Amino acid sequence: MGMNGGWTDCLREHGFAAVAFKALAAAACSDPDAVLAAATGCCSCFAPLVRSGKTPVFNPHHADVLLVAGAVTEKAAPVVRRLYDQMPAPKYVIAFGNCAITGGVFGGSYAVTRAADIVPVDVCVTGCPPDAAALIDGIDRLRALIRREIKEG
Amino acid sequence: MDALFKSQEEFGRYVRLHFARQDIADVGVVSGMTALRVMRAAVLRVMRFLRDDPACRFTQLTDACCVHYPDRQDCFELNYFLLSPLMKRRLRLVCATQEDVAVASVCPVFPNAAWYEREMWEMFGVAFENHPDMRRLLLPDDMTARPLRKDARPADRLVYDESKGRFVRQKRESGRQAVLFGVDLNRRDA
Amino acid sequence: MIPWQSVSFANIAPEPSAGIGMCRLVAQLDGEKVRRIDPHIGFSHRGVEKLAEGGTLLQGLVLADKLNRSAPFSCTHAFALAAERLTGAKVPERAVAVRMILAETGRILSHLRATANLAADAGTDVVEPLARQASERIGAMLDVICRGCPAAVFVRAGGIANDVAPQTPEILFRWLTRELPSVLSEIEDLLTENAVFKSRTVGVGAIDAADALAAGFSGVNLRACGVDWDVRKKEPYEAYAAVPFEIPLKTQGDCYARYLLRLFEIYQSMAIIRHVSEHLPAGEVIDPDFDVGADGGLTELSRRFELYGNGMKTPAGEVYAATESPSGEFGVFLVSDGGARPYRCRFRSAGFPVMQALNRMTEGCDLADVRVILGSLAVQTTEVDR
Repeated sequence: MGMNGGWTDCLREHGFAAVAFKALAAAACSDPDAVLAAATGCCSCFAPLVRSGKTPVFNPHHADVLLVAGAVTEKAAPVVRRLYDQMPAPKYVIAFGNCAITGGVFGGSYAVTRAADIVPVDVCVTGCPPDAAALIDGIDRLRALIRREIKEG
Repeated sequence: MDALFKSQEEFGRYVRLHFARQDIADVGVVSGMTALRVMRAAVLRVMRFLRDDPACRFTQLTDACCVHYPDRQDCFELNYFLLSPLMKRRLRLVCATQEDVAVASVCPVFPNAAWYEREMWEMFGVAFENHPDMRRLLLPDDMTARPLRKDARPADRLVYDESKGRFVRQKRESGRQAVLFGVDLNRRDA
Repeated sequence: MIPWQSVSFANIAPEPSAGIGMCRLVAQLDGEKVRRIDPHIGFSHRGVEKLAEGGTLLQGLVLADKLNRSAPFSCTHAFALAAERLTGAKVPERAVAVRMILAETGRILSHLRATANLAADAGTDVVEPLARQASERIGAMLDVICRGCPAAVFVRAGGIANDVAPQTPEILFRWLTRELPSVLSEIEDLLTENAVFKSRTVGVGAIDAADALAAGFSGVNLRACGVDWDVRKKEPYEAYAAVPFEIPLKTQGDCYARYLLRLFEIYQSMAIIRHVSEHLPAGEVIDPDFDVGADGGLTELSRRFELYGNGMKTPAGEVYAATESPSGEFGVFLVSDGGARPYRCRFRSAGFPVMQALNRMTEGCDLADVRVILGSLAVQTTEVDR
């Protein structure tokens, strides 16, 4: 665990060492460089991430993309927000799985909120749970979005 | 059954013999498991007996949960599931209680009841006496609702307000919270 | 003057050990030694019990499946059993056999993952690719066996969703004799006599039988302390009474004993699958009261709509069904008031009491051992939090 301002702040407020979150460094140059994955529900995003040939790394300060995987519970929501705030701009968010997007089967629950209510979501990856191909497609769509942003300034 | 008791009913009678008539309201067998209805004041005594008696030896509390019946006067029914690996027997201890009347915590007999009681308190508002560490377990600290009660009202949704830079609670869009699969969660259908 | 070694706090979060999910441990430390741990759970609490009250039994199955993704079929199986005991369904023999095969396959999958996670916690990642490869193979195999039906809804109240593929016994035989043994022997070669792995697990996180029982342990975690309790053997459900298998036991109660037991159990599960798939009975796969073919006449069709839309009315009553899930006893307590939706649905989670006992188990151990202990207990927070 590295010691830095974000870590101690996070510790004080939520007791969460954000640096322990798994993040992912993508290789290609037009890719978003690093993806930070926040697994809050039953969707495991790590297997598809690893399957698509990426290596997980560990720091929100190095992340460009936040991957919110699974239902965002109310208890986890402040943590997800905190992680997002710690990321340097420009930053992007992928909502991974039906539960993160709308709540999915947990949509009616008293304990579940939506990723888009907590952080600004750029790309949604549907599925319950989504597979590796869906995630790669999501990253592709994000890449196109970033390219468009660069073009339009 | 085993060598000691011919049937679940006989075992139930054996337990009942050790207590005064008013302590144990009813003994029955529900879906193959002895169900013991115990008065609120006797819960701890009965539990201790069930754990220590050589013919019972219920050494494990496998689960504890609450069922809410808003129409009854004793609106909470606490279910304690006990297991005796030695005697290969299970037992469900049922205790009816009401709001605002504290039940004795069974932590002195089964230490792992602590979290189950925390959960029952947080989800239903069941009060426990002499609980070593009563605080919220599964829900965020600022949540005051008792969500598993039958009369629970839809809680507000937690939303991050970008302009204010903090979390706010927002009313759920109508028909979102309480309705699932087209069914109102708070209404009992026939 | 402040003493050099003073009491401090550490937050171990958000994933205190590999693959368990989101949770937070607040540890009070004395130097490197743990004095006290306060586990904070609930980050994956999605209110499944309340949601299940609003759904039919079929919808409850889908919710139950979300409780433990790393052990497919375990939670849906328990829910189906509870629903069957409530409604008095007669499960056809073939469905019973298939469900046992699936439950044991899920157990193998879960134990493999648990072993890989424990290995990762103990400092080696080499088992992870092996386990991932094996679990991908299992996933592909299940796709063929279940004929594309999603695992979440394959096991149902009354039987299974559709008949398994005709080549199922051959697929299983091939998997059990050619593919799985090599993975297992590789894992054993890597870990069982590995000096580093042993130094991190032997004698670490030990708990004795009386404490484990009082703490509410079940499954492998309980049997590692020498308590001979397995729901499959002691209170046989399905057709486990008719299948020859053994319940391996250990008495040390430490992380290494739990690791060994998981491996031994995989072999027992293989024997069960082998036996059942060789004696796979023919016939129906679901109680006709619970499923109506879609190719019947108009009355059948409207009954089908009724069954899937409004659900099946259950007699009023209370029922508890316990199963031996890979992580321990997973139970479902259903209370019905006579309607089609359960009045109360309680999931007895195997990991819940284990998380609670973490404080006792880590008392006095090194901070670095906390994640090894937690990893060896094979807890899933999605199941703990419900």
